[in-house]
Amino acid sequence: MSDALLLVEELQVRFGGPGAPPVVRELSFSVAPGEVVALVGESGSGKSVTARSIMGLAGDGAQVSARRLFFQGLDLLGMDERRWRGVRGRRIGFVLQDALGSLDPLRTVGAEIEEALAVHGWRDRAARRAEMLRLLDQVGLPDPAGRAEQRSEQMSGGQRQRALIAAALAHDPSLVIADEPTTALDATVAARILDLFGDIRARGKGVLLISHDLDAVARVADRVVVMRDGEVMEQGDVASVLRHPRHAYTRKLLDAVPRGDRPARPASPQRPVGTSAPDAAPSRAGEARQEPLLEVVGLRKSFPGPDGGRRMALDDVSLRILPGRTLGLIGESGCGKSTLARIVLGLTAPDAGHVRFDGRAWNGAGADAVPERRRRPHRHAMGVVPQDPLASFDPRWSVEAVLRDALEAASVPSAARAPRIIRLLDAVRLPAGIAARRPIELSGGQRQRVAIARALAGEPRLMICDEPVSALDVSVQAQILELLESLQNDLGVALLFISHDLGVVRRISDWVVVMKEGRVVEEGTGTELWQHPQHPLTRALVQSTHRSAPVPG
Amino acid sequence: MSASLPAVTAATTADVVPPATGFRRSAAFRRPGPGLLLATGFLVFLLLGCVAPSLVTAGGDPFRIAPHEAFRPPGWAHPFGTDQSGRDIFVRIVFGARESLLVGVGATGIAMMVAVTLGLLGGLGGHLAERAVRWLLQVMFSFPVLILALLLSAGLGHGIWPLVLATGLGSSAGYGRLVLSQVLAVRDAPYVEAARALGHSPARIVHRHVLPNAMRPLVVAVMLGVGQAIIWSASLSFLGLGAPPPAAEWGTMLSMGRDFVANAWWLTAFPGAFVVMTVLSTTAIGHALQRHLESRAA
Amino acid sequence: MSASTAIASRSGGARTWRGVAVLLLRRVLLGLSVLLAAVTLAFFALHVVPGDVVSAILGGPAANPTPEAVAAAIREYGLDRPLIVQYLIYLVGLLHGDLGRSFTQHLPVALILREQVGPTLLLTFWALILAWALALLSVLGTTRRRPWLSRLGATLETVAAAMPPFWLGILLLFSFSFAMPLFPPAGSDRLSTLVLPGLAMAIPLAGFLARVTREALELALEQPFILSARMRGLGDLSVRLRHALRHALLPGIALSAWALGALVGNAVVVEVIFSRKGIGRQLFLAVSTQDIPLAMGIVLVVSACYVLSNLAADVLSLWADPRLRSSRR
Repeated sequence: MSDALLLVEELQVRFGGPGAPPVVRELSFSVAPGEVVALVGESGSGKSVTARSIMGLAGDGAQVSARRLFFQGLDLLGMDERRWRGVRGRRIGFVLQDALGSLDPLRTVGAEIEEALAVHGWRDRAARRAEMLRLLDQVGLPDPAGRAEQRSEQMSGGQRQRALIAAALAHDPSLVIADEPTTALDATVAARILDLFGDIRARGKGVLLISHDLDAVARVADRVVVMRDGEVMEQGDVASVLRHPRHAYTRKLLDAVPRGDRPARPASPQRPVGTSAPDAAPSRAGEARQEPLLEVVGLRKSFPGPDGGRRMALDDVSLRILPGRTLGLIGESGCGKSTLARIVLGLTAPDAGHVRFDGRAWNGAGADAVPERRRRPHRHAMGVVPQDPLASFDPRWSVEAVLRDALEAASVPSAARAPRIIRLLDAVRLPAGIAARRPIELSGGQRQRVAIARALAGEPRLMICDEPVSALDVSVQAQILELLESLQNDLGVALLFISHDLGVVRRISDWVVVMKEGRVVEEGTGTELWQHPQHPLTRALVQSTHRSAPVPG
Repeated sequence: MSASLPAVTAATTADVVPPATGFRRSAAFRRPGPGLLLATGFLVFLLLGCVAPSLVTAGGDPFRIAPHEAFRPPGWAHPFGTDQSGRDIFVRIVFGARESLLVGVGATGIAMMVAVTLGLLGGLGGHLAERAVRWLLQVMFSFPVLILALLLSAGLGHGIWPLVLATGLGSSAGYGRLVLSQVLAVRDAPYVEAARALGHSPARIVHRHVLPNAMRPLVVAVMLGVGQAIIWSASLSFLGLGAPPPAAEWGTMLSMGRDFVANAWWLTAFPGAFVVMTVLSTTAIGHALQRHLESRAA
Repeated sequence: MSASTAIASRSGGARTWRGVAVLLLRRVLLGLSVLLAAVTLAFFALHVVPGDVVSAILGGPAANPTPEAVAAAIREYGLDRPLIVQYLIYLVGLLHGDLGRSFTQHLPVALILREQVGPTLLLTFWALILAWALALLSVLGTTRRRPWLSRLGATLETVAAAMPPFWLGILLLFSFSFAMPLFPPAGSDRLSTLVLPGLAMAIPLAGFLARVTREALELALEQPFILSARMRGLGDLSVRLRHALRHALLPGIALSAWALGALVGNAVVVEVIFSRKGIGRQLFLAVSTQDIPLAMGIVLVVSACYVLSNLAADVLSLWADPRLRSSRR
């Protein structure tokens, strides 16, 4: 592979002394011009360290060695800092993960990109500014002049990521390395960002794309390198890896992704949940009269906007959930999903509308307002599974203290609590030994299981799951979803499942509601939405989940 | 003279530095270094001096006047020398430890009581209470502590108590700001919301979550604050507001020694060095505590 | 940075700057209310404290005034009126710029202050600048460098912060005025008299500022945007100066307001040690001799210093942190 842009042979990276186990071992791959190579693995697989080692910034105390580490014939090992600076940003562009933190919050985006230009010799101010605007335009940001004056916090996630890519493209580098460029983005936005890398390849550049989501990168990658614990599991053409994954780990990564080509939950004959009146749908006489467990009517809520006006977070939203059923709520970030969850939980009062839960007035505005005192005795019947379980645990408490506290809230007598804690842990398939540990010491999946156990402590009839899997690795996502499904089968608990990922929602829900800008824009069974999406947003969501569709199965 | 700095520092940092997300302090686990061991050793020595000063000084008397031994430079008989009346400086410093530590701890205690009251009031009493407390803290910051000290000593007479009160009240605004920002942060923490969603009562949530979590960083601030309180009270007693001479109190000794600084440097150097070392020791232990808490939290 | 200055001219800019003006106006009003509260507090506290005000006017406890003199003094200073009336009279005087007459020096307080405020403010600002210079030197020179250098810097800062200013003053006085007569031991007329008192006040403060700034700098250097800038080819030093330092200065700037207040307080001891002219000494004298008008005048000056420096820190923070401009509090 003498024509390779980047040649990595037996790369080894370790932190600490020579005795420390390497975080990357014997990694070999190459990137050719006009090629997108994807480095895929779950968190801790060593893929980010690899990317940083290639840039000579693996961090303090990192020992990087390799048989060969060449970029355009340049030996990257043993270069001094001055020569490195000539490579970074000019010949290799780097797009860091976490676009919010990767742009200086005190400076405008334009200043950041101009700085990237100035570092490598763009002295003339006017020319620099013109080039900066051209770059912003090139990455598809509308109104580049306006965007250039904004700081990262004033932009959306997708815009920030585009700005970062623009900075990385500043000197038309022959290689672009992108570390998890789409992780924090909504599926539809992520798909468009990934297309940008396709454009870069089309101009004959090499791209090294790092991601935890095999399915997502398959959209643009030519070749895939699957990593686990610092070692390569498998590498090859994207088509052959996806079609015939040789390694069990690759198969696991692929299976874990809730993809469009797998069956959704079988549609129920009637419309058990949803916003429209259930009578409108064909229904079996017996179940139609069943009273909804949760009924949300005409909710409105607005917040003061950044420009002094008011932003509608919820605009006339109505929903109902029958006992034991699952309502999936899907929308992009900022569409009002979380506000709805807070109102249903009775943590915020709406501006208008009301909520009934389990046959009681639960929350409402004005005359319908329900005092917290009246809600409190029945709160145990409504559990919550948050997006960030760790933040929802008191940092001082052990798992046992968390669960004991939840049992106490549910008025379980103190003598009965200890055996109940063990039963709860068992229900979420955690070993009893975990009770003594603190949540900070647990993995992301274990923390979410503890949060589910806490929600189960009050023997709830409804669980509100607010993006419960979006922060987890794909294979862990699948396990948590399975757990929720089996709990629902065993306990008959209803779920309000909130997510931005249609693939996830569709798998678990009887009925799916699509929200945009505080309004319900479409609803139906998962299969209906899947096969006949009506609203443009739903179509985009379906599209983004069909990512690997081009590869013939 | 104004509020204790560590508290102000911590509160200001908490206000200004955005909450850290996605990164962790490195070097969380550290073995106790030589500094920490020295600090602990020194404090143990001082505590011994508080409990049994005669034991440490081999029966020395801080008030024994020996005119023929006046202004002896440091030597074998008197390791830190003697003062204008021939009193042994080392003995006097050891006997003075009790008052200095008492002032430091007492003042910080008073400051904490005021601060916690104000912080809880402002943090949990609603929007209006929060604004009122913020305003009150500003007024307290702006009021010169020296006036407070002078007024208190005019009202209560010279001695240790006006010193403790003035230093305590003077540093309470800094702690107050810290407590307030902590209570506000914890009040809105996701785990407090989770407790509400579980159906716990507000009183229980304050008791089980808000208080303990808001008070945690205060442990460090208090440790750092004791040292600063010692400095402030020494300054006040240097101005003649403390125990009148010949009391064996560090600030008073410094104040007396100042008149002889040109020909007997040891009269000021050693009491001052003890103030510095005490402050350094409490600071070192405070920082170690901070690292420990952070490594547990992160 | 042409881009950052251009903010005001763009569409969203006008609104932002109006928000800033409203914010500042609110801060000014708040500051005035704080000032009023401090003056009120001082007025009643000074009058409540036991002690014979009349004898203070007539030359202290040693003087032996005639009953007529006492009566005249009471009438002249309006001491026979109810306290609340005296307070209102004082406030009305304040509004007209009349701070009253000193009991002991028998001069208008405004006149005394005019002479004494200058040296103290000069000393205070000089100490603040010196403290920032020392702190930045230490922080920029040693943070995240070789481990031993970082540790040395951090240790020096901790030791500096543990120094009582008055003790430092005495040590400096002994070392550089007596043992090595480089600087004058007393006085406030020449610039060379500022060196030692300035250092005595600046070194402990430098320790604090440096510690806060170091912590913030370490925090900033860990942020992804620093790595991002390095990835664009920026060198270590330019990343520190252009990106990290601005973040690191924010807590220190906010602290400086408080620090200025503390420095005015510290000035008292330092002025006593170096026999300098200034309000610190005057405050000490005024309270010990029950010179209420003079003490009130000094409280007013000290509180105003605090309020003004707070305002200055607000403005500086607005300049350094554009995020504050858009958020409304």
